[in-house]
Amino acid sequence: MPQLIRRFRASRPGDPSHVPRIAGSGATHALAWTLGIAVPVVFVGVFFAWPVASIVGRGLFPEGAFDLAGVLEVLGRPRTQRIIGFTIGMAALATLITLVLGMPVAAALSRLRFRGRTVLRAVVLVPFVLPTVVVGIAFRALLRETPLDGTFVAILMALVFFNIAVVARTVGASWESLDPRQEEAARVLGAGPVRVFATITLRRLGPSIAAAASVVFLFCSTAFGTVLVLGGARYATIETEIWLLTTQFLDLRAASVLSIAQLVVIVALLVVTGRIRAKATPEKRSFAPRPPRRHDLPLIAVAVAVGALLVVPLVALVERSLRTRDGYGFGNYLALASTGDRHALAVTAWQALGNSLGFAAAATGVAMLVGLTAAVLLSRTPRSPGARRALDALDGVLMLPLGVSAVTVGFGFLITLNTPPLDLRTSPILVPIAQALVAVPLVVRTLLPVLRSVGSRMRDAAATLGAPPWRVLLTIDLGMSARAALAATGLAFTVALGEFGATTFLSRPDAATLPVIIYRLMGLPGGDNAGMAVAASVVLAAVTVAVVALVERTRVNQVGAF
Amino acid sequence: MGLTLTDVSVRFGDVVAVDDVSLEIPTGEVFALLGASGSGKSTLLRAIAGLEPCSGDIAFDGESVVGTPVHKRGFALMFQDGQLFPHLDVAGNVGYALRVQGRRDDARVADLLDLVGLGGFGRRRVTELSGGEQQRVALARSLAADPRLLLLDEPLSALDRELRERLALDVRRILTEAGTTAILVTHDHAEAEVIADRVGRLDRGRLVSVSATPDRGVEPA
Repeated sequence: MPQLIRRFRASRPGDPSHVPRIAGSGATHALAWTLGIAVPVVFVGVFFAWPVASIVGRGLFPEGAFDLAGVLEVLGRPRTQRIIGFTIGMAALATLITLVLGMPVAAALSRLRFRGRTVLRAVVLVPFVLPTVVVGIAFRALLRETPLDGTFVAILMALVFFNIAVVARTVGASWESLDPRQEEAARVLGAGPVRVFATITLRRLGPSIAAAASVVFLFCSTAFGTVLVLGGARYATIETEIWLLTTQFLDLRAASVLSIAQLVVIVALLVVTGRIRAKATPEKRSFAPRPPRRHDLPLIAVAVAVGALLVVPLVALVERSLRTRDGYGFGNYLALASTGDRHALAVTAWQALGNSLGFAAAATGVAMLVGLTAAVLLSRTPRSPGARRALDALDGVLMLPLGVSAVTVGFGFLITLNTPPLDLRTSPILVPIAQALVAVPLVVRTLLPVLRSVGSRMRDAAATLGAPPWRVLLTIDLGMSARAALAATGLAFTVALGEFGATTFLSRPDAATLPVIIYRLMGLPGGDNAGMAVAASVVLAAVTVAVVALVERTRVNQVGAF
Repeated sequence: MGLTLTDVSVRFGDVVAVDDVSLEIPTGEVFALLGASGSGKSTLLRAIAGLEPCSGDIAFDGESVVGTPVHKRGFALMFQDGQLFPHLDVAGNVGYALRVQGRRDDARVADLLDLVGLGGFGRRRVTELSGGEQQRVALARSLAADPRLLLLDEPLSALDRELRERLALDVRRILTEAGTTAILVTHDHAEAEVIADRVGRLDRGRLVSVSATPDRGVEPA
């Protein structure tokens, strides 16, 4: 994802012809900008900042005044400290393991052309797009009746499983852009392979490794569905604790303090990532992979082994779904047409899948409208420094929904959007809005590199050929990013389909989504319900993988690269 | 009448990139702006196109275009690196201006490709073309708009010497055949003499001299 890290900003002060600018001026122009900015700002303001701010406000200002003693009391609780420590420690450990396992995959995929490369690419990407609840269920199926079931090792494994794609794709894309002749030059100068790797390759990959690590850490420290399914009551992270405090104990104050603690960590991380991104030099070239030589075989073997490990939990999931009380069979799949053992649910699993698809389609529409508008804005470099700073701020704000607890957002919706004119509490529209919120950052990150690559001079060329600004936007910006937009649409759809944290708050029992009923079935007594949950997980995974397969055909590299 | 520049200046903060340039270019003339890099020649060209804000007046056929947005000026700008649209094929690039004007004209596109010596290239991807071919497509694309003024920003600088000399003659022929008024920006004296009728020298933003090129009965190439 160097494409993502790259912030191409051509600013050579001595050469004015290279200062990117926004062509045109005047009142219509200003109006277009204002409207363009209004779409993402209003969306994020109303459906993110306001709910989150008010829930945090309720926790910290219980009687209208800041309750410092209360905050300190929450932070002083041994349980709070243990949970914060556990979250950070586990995320750090998971990030380290992910890097170690992801690097060989990145190297093999970006440098070598071998049999099964395409398959390995796909195998690595699949876990990243699987719904978090499904990942949790797959690892429970895998570790059932082993000593690891219900331990933090299970959580750790699931987090690594999910995130290897981030390292493989992010570092891999950067690896592709490195000129292999530099390494050859070092070899000729007498450096051994290890030395070349340490002094040349690793140093040049540094920024992308750091970027990948920070994104993996972000995903690990805010994981909700996976941790909830695997950790149960024993292992709580900040995110699951917020859920527990909000839903079970109604302790808004403690939940708010934890939300803020999480926000502080995430913002710090985003600032660091931004710095690294700014440092990474823009390199658009990419060098074709070469056929492997004898000394490359260990690398390929390791990469393939990692790929094989990624398949194991999925095999376990399918195996478990076929296991019924009377031996192997399709009983669990047949049960999907029912409402579960002892009518545990208000809808059948198939109806829930229908709900999921409907909500995800609506969420995708919203996410694309907001994300596309935001990405077009962010791809421009206005002349005024103030406007540039404002765009940078918007860039950061749009990333925040990635790091703020989905539970906080979901619960925030319930307590803020309940008064006219925005009384949406009973409206099913809240579900796709919350899902869109989670998808917007991914849409922006997918589109932005392509839109930034358009370059102001290409827009200038179109303008001098007689195209008015709207036409330049339509035929040049959007024309060039059509494939990326298609990929972003698919990505948004899968993210919405698997969203669990906020949806679990907002979906009503009669309009439940598939991830929500999977979690419900898992927690209910009766072996048949658990079997049905696993079968439903397989169905959800299959739908997700089908969408991703379509996206992969667009061959837009930066999908899933962060 | 043609193009009239009156006291045109472009400033970037404290830096004066173009300093009080006044110039008249009659209809049908090809004028070369010659200068070292950083002399302000490209900036002046961008100001004429409407891509840089400037002071002073720019008029065409006696009518000021200072308040006219870029896309309504009818001045096509050809970039040094072509700036071809990579998502469109050759014909899609050449026909862009025609489609913007609401007329699809495949025959005109084919004629233009013939004119630049790329007949039959219409369906090719622009990313598969050589540097020289790309610049030919860029030239055809600029001409398709029937611009009243064609602005050429170092159109041949990115090419190697031999190709540059050959293409310079082609550009001269194409411009004469099309009868287009044009401004060519270049740092290459020989290229200016091959293509242009008159040459103006720009030094640190100031237009220091204007002279007619030697009789082109003998080709200097």
